[in-house]
Amino acid sequence: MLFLSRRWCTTAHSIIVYRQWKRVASTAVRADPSLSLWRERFGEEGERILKIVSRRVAERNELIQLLGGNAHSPEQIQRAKTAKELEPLWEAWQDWQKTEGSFDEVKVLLEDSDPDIRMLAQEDEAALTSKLNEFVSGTFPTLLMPASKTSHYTALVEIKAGVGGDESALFAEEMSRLYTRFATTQDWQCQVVSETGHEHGGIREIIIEIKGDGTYDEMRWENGVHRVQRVPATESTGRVHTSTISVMVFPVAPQSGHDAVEEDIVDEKDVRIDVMRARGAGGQHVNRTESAVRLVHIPTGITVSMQDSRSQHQNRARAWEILRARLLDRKLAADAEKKRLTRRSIFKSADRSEKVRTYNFPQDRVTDHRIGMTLKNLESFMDGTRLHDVHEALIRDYNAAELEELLESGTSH
Amino acid sequence: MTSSLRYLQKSLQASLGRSQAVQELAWMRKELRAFPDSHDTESADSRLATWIKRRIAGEPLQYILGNQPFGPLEIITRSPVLIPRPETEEWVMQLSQRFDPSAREGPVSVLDLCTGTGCIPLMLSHIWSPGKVRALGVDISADAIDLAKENLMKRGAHEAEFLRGDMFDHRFCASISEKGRYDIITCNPPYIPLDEYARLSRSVKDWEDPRALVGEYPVPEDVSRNETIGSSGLRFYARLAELIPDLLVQKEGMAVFEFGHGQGSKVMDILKHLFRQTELWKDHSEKERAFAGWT
Ligand SMILES: C[S@@+](CC[C@H](N)C(=O)[O-])C[C@H]1O[C@@H](n2cnc3c(N)ncnc32)[C@H](O)[C@@H]1O
Repeated sequence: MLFLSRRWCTTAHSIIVYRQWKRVASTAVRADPSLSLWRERFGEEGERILKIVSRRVAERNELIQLLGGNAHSPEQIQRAKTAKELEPLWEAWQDWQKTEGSFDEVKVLLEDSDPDIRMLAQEDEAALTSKLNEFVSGTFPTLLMPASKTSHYTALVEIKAGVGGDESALFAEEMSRLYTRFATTQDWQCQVVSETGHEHGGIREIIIEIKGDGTYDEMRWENGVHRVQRVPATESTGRVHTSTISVMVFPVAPQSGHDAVEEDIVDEKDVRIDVMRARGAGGQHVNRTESAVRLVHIPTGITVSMQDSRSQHQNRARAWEILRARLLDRKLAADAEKKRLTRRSIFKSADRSEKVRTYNFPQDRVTDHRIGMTLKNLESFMDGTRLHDVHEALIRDYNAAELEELLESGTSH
Repeated sequence: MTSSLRYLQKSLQASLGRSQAVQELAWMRKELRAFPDSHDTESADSRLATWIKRRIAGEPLQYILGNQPFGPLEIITRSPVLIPRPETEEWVMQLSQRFDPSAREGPVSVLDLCTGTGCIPLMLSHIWSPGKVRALGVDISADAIDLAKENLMKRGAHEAEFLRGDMFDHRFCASISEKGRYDIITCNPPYIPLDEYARLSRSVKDWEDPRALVGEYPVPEDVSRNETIGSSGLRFYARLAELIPDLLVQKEGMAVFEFGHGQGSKVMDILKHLFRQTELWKDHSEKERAFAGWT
């Protein structure tokens, strides 16, 4: 290019000057966090978040200091673990401080006598501000959120027809199809553990096992009562019926491999095993297939019956799996309740009789009542591809509430 | 659903009781789905109707469906070869846990007398890593040996061999012991006393080989009419006691034999002296079900 405008030349010159200035500024004006006006810049909530983060980072640095040497005491191991957990937050904080540094440099340049430099500084200021805001409203809150303690669990999903007779049984079947399709889109494996059909079609009760990474954490959002509104195929007057089904999602702890670190939730001595074939001589004397198995957990009175397979061995294995999932579910609920009480929490206790969703066919929409979210096009929803969107919205909502909680107590522990 | 099918289902309920009938129908339906033409409702319905009729006539479900789960395996079943029982499955599972083949150099040799469908050696070699087992299954019945071979083929494995022969035949047993001793000997011999046999349900007596059930050798003619003649049903354990010294390794060998209800102490008396250590194992209903001995 032969023809350079004057404007361009000045700007090019200014950029060079601007860069040099910035370098000078970076040594001259060291960012001092105590001087930063967090409340003014990020609001009250932002200030609180930043205070928590800086306190956590200080905590982490202290732990690192204490860690020197190679003592393997339980105390040291715990320290190392906590420090490791705080590492992502610490890294983000480093990044944040660097950004704050640049921001301070740029502020000086905003006062520069050269209008071009002022203009460039303004552009930088805008970019840095939005980056800092993202830290305060996105990165830090996410990192402060306590990690899920249930992410290694897989899910047992139990669907039961409820109010509404045949309609309800048909809808239970549609829901089991929805979950199976959803699982396929997530690359999870699905297996029907037990199934009780309904005389006039549909399903009275079904238990599906969904295996894969984080299946429990995702599927647990389905817990509760689901309501369907539509005109049954058999209804001649065209009247809309309302039926319900209930969904219960139970956690399954990994049983084998390196994940099996957890203590077994059930003591086998507490369980009475009833077998249908127990009557009579057994062995060669009898060839009837009586493979039903019932487990009774005496301390809690939980009873699990399994008869779907012709193999008693398999029924027994599945009954144990379901019993363990029920007990683990109880334990999680008790833990959550304890946490709720100690934190005077805003969270409601988990309630499986809560009406969580309505599927309205005449109006072609599905509404999740917990967050007031409504989606159009029910047919595509029943394909399973959009279930994750609803879960994401629920998780966002949950995290926001968690964060509020965190800010109120000033800590996440 | 056609009305005749509905009628058949009612009759099935009448003969089996409601809950068992519902359960068996569900299993039949499940099995129907395995057929290539399962989408064709007409042929599926007619197959179901035939199955229900056979069931009402007293044929065991396992023969109608042609298979039975056994531990982690699905065993092909066909009359008159004895249908594997869950009690057997249990002690085989226990044996697989109590014996550690990985502690041995080379493969472990297993002799299963009275092998029937071959379910015992097939399950052991399935559970223990492949190549860790060399098994021989023996049965007097040609039907049993054919079926055991079929079951082996179904697994696509070669870890077992099946031979037709009579364990009371000295020459036959000598030919087996020529091949060397076995680390493990298992046997689920026929153990039902004659009088008890006479009182068994038709689905056992009419469909399963009496030679697989009656603890006598040889099995008397007209076996179902011998209602009054008492017998212990223990004939096979005495024979096993004769065979063990020649067939089982003298050190760190293990033998497990199934027996019937109430036979535990007598079986123990017959076999105890041959072993360094013995146990009686219970089944799921707390009945003594299997003898275990270690050399
Ligand atoms: C109770 S069945 C056991 C089958 C199989 N092992 C199981 O547990 O399902 C007994 C088997 O012993 C076989 N048997 C009976 N008398 C025999 C004999 N003298 N020698 C070898 N096998 C015999 C029968 O043919 C029958 O298959």
